[in-house]
Amino acid sequence: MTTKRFFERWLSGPALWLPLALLLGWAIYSLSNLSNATVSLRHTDKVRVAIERLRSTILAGETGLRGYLVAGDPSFLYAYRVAALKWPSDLDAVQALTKDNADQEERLRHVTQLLNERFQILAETLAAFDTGARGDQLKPFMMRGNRVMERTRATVDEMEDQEARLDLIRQEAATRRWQVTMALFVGAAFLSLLLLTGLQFQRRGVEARRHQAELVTQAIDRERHVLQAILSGIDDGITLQDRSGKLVFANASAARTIGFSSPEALLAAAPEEITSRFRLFDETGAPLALDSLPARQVLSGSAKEASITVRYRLRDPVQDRDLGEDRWSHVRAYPLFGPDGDLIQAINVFQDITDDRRANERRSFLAQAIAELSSSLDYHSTLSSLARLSVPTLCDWCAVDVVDGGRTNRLAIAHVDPQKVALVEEIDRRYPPDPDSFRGVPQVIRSGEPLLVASIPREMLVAAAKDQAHLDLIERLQLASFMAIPLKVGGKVIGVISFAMAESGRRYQADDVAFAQTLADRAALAIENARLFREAERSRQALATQLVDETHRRREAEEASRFAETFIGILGHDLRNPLNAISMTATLMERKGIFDQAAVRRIQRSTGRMSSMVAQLLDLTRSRLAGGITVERRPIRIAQVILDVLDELRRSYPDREIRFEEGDDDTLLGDQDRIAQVVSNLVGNAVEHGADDAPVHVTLSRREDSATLTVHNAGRPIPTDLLPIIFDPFRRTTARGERARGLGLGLFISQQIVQAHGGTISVTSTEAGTTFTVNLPRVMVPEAPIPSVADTLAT
Amino acid sequence: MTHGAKAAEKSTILIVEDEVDSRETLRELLELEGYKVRTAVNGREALDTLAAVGDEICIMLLDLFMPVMDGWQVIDELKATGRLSSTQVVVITSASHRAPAGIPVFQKPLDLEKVIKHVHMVC
Repeated sequence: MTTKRFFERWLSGPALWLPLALLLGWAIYSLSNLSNATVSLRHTDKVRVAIERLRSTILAGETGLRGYLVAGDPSFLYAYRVAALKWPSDLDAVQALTKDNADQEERLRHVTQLLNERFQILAETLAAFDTGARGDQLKPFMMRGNRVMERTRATVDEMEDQEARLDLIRQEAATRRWQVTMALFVGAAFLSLLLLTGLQFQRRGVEARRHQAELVTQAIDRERHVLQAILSGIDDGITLQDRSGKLVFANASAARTIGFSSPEALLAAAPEEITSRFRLFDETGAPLALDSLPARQVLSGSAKEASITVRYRLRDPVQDRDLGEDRWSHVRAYPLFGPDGDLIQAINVFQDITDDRRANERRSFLAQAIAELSSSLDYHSTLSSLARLSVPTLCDWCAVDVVDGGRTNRLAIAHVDPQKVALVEEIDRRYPPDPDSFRGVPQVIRSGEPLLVASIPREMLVAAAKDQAHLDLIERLQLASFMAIPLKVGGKVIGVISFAMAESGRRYQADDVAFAQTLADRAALAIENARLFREAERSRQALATQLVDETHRRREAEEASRFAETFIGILGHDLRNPLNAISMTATLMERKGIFDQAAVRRIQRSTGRMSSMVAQLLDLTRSRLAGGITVERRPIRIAQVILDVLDELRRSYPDREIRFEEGDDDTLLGDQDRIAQVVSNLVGNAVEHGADDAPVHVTLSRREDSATLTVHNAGRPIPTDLLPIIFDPFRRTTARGERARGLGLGLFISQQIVQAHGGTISVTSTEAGTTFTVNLPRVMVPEAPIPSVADTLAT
Repeated sequence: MTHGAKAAEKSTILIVEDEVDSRETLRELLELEGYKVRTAVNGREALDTLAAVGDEICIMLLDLFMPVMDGWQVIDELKATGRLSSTQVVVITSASHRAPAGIPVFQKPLDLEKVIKHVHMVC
């Protein structure tokens, strides 16, 4: 406590009031005593006056008597008689005044006796005088009278003295009392002054405090106003609940959040009315009990702070239907403690996170939509899937119309309920949209600007309806809110996406239009990209085709050129070689003048080779230019075919050993001449390229479904780089580096023949020798009949 | 044979030809003319022969199309080793238009009279 406050308290407290009261009481008491003293003084005066009056009366009586006695004039007796009559009353007066004074009473009784005696004497004197006594005769009376008088006088004087003394004492007492009283009053006055000063101080302190309190109150009021302004201004809903759960405060946002027009309306509402205004769900959409809200936990003391994210839907309790779309709120509750630390209230903060949630939903929707849009190059399917995707995130209804050659076609329509889709299709069928309409989709197509009808008034539907039946159908759609967004590619409107809200009661706002436009732009971009991609793909494909064609042509040209070159080489070189030999042999024979047997054989061999080469060239030409070597399928006995070929070869190569290990003879469908050609080629090669001193081995084996022929020769292996291309045409080599006696077409033609039979031919070549293996299916796969080589040769 | 003495030192003819009938007919014909003949079936054998008995070789009848080493490679090799000037080469080929420049060419089928005449001139 400050000194000032202490001082104020002390001044205004009993410490000062009590002494002051005592002092005043004492002063008043003293004053009353003073008054008594004054009364006593006045009494003394009165006593003294009464005594004086008595004395005067006595003196007047004496004087009157004396005058009568002296003058004999009876008029003097009047004074005497008055005095004789009056003195008892005077005496009574004194007696009355001094009855509280025993001394004076005693004296008074004495005076009374004396006066009685005196007036007795006077009466006797008078009587004596009247009887004629004079002078000395009267003297005894006079003498006795004088004595009595003297005693009277003395007593009266005593009384007087006493009164005078009393008066003096009383005066002193009164003076003293006066002084004390004055002192007391001065003291009281001082104290009063002090007290007044104190009171003044206190009053000022109180004033100051009251002023301060007023300032504080004003400040608090201001703060409260500011706080209330802040609380009503902030978007978060804030409520206070007491321990029973009753709402004691709510800001405007809290009231708005749960569907009340004002905080006052919310606070006045009964709990059941509040709960009838909304339905509560958890994040997954499952209904949520009110007890799950964090305030209950906080109020029950089970949590210091609690929060939950809820989804809710406002309801119209009167019509018992949902209002608008789901909203999201993050609800937090904090305990509020009183000064003594007791939990008194819970603060609820409702943060509306619907926009965040919706933004998230939209982001993920957009991501999904973009993925969907990029997944197809067909913009019809792209837009259809977009319509499908939009329900129900963006709308209850979605329709896509595209402009196609000046006409508008409805490409897709989506709604959760297929029956509703059917309804729209029925409306479109019965009442085809007017492309020149100033409303809706045609308007957007013409303007290229998005259209938003946040809340569709019934008048609009009435105006749009062509007749009552049309209106009835339209009204069944329950359209509540609508937006139509142009799909623009390169500034040109290629279509319109229409979104509508119906049963859900949701309403579109400007930001919905912006979002939908973003989506439409994405869709348009996807369509444009798809178009560009298709164009690029077409160009690429055209280019690729062109390239393939070019490559093909070039390869064909190269092939043709190479073929021509080879062909020219063959005709120019290989065919000329035997001709050269024939020619030279003829010259030689001419020079020698003889027909030498060796020379004739040479001519024969050369002409034979020439024939063989021509036949091979024809086979090649056939296989290259006429679709392949042909075979005539007849049942043949393969072992016999081999034996015949080997006989022939043995005659040509009498010094070479050719062994044939014949397994079971087998009959298969094939071309006997062609098979013989293959055997002849393979065995001939083996004889020609194989080691001279080693036999050629030929085997035939039979399997379930095929016959296998192998031709093996010892000798140097075929170079490994040659193996993969050994069946290509014009690949020829000899072990010695000598010219092969053919065109290098033998293996190529053999392969063509085996393949024409549906068989395979392969080669292995190692240091151990070279083996060709031919597999021929026992039942040939039927093939389309192709003209035989014989036919070809014939032509 | 009249020409035999003339080519006493350097009288051998080298025939380089992979085709056996042509090679053997030509050999028989030239031997009939009195020349000593060596044969090679490809360029590699020809160069080997030249390396071994080059002094004897009067003229080399060289085919162009041959396996292992062809006639063009033989000429290149001779040019590279500076032996082309000391070796008489005649090309015998069916593709005369592709013969190396500066070297006598006889087109197959050979006109043997011309060939023999040329050989006589040289050897």
